[in-house]
Amino acid sequence: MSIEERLLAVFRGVFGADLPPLADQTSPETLGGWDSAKHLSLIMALEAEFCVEFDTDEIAELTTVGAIRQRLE
Amino acid sequence: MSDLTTRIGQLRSGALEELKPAQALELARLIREGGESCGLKPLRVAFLSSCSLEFGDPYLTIEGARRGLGLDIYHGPFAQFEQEVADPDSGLARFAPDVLILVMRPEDIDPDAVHRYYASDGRRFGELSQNVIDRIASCLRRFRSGSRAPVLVANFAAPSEAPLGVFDANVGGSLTYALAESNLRLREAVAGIPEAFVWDYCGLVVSQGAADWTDRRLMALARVPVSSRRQPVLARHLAQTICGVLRPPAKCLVLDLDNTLWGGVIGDDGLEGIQLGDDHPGLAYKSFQRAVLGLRDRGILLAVASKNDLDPAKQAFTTHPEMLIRWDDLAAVRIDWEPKSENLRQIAAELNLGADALAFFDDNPVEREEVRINAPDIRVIEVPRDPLRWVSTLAECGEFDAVGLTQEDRSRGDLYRDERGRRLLEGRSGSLEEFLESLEMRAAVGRVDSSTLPRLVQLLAKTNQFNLTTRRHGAAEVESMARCPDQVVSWLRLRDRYGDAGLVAVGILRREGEVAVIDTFLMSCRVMGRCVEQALLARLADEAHQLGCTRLLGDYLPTAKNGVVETFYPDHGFEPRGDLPGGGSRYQLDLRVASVEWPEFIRREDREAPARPSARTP
Repeated sequence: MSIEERLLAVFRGVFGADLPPLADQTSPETLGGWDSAKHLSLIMALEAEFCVEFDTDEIAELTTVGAIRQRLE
Repeated sequence: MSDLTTRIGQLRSGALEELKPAQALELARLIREGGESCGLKPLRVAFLSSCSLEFGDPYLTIEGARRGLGLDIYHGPFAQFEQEVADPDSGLARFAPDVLILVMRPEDIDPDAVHRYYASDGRRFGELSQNVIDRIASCLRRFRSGSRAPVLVANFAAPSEAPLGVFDANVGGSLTYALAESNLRLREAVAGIPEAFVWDYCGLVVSQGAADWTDRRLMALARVPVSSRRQPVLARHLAQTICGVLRPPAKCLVLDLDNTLWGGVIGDDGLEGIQLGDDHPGLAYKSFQRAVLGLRDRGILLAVASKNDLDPAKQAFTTHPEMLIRWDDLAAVRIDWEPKSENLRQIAAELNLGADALAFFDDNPVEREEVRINAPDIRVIEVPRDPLRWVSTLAECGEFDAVGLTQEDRSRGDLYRDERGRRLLEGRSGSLEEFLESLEMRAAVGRVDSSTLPRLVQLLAKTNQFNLTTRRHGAAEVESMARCPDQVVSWLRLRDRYGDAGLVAVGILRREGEVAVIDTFLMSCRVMGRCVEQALLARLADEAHQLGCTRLLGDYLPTAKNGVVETFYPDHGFEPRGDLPGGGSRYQLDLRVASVEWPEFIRREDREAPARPSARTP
């Protein structure tokens, strides 16, 4: 699977299968359900999927799909 | 929906072991939405906690589904214990949980008392832990006044960094020991409340490793005390504990033989060919046998269901030097070529257990599936391929988790062993006659003397069922009867191929002219159904002859417990002689025209044979 497909799978897992298309600007403001608890779930799911570990500051900054894409590439 | 049914099926059969977090979240959501229509049994689980445990909900939902439960989970407001249990309008009260989980961590309440342990030489921690225990006890009492739901209380785990570092356990009074001591006090407090149990959170953290347990980022950002990686094992442990409290444990472990108790196939590889010993690969099987015996030690019965020929399989038990489980350890055995589901049902019947009291362990997935389909009540343990993992499998399957342990549990295996041989033969023999014959019974009869008096009086005092008149003669009375020339006090002692059953039957005769009246006729119910009573009756007829009597007279005096002998006399050829004024019936055998035959399956031993003392009770 490509990075993009894996990223989509993680978002679907965290936010549900009926997810709107992901854009770089997608953020807690535009995506329903992306609250602080879900954000931590998302971060943990991303770490497990991509075998990375974000430091505490990064966790707070990775709040758009664009920032996440950039960090994973 | 059918997709979800399939995935829940995979969960239950162990096919879905490792899920990535995103997959787990998705599956948990599907279970929450559609689990009930997939046959999951709803269960309401509430948490009151000093930290944030919501993060574990998806994993707990999955582990619940794995065990057939559809969990509805409630988290009380952060660190509000007293308010939640006391307020009749609280979220907890309205949720009305089936199970309550209490997690009150000392380090959440007062971090300094833990992390600056030596600021007060541990005194502050001692006060803190006592305060936490008191709060927990008071919450439990309060909750119990309004709910019968079981409560699990997490015990205290050590932080990953102890105040004295790697040497904390070297110093008396250190945090390591203060925590252990607090956990003892917590256990005592919890044991005082009905249906309250310790959830061994401390043991879980130790077994998984405290260092990796907490993710400092999750703790800092959201007060989540358990790392994402450890959430699945946390959920598994908690779900297993919940199920252990809600569901009675299995009472019997039924084992396969080939490639389960030893490596290889005994019928093909022979005694020398099977793998069993202290080196790889035999070690895995020997360790497994040791774990199985550990279950027997605490009251789980062991049984075998194997597709094999009996002789070589039995030989492995009796002659293989590395075999830890002995043939005698088995409460029931089915070694033949019948379907396992059928043999498991027979084992349940033989041991007088429901099918759901049996847990089945077989390396062969085909056999497991056959049992799942044809005997769905039986608990089929999912067995991983590598036998080295089986010791953990027995512990983690949860089927044997019991919240208490009694002395009776510990000796149950032995109690069943003595009866097994007889039942085994009964099961295999074609007819009752063959069964009775195969027991190789030998009976001795005689008159009471000082050596037999105590046991005889004990039987008179205790025997309720097989007792025609229930007359509780005491020792002095029996001694005076024995001295009287018109009375005879007789006993019968039984042995069979399995051992000495001891003195098991008593008959007392009294001469009244030409009539010999049976004052007492009783038998221990342990030997019922084996024609022993007929042997004693034949003996009494002999004694009546010797007293010069021509008729034998017997009364049946009914009690609440002796209905089993209501037709005893007519069954043995006695004629009815009418009802007795106080209730009961009288029967007579005319010894001039009728007799009582000594039963053909019992060999009569010399009357003077030395009687071994027996301490057995009826």
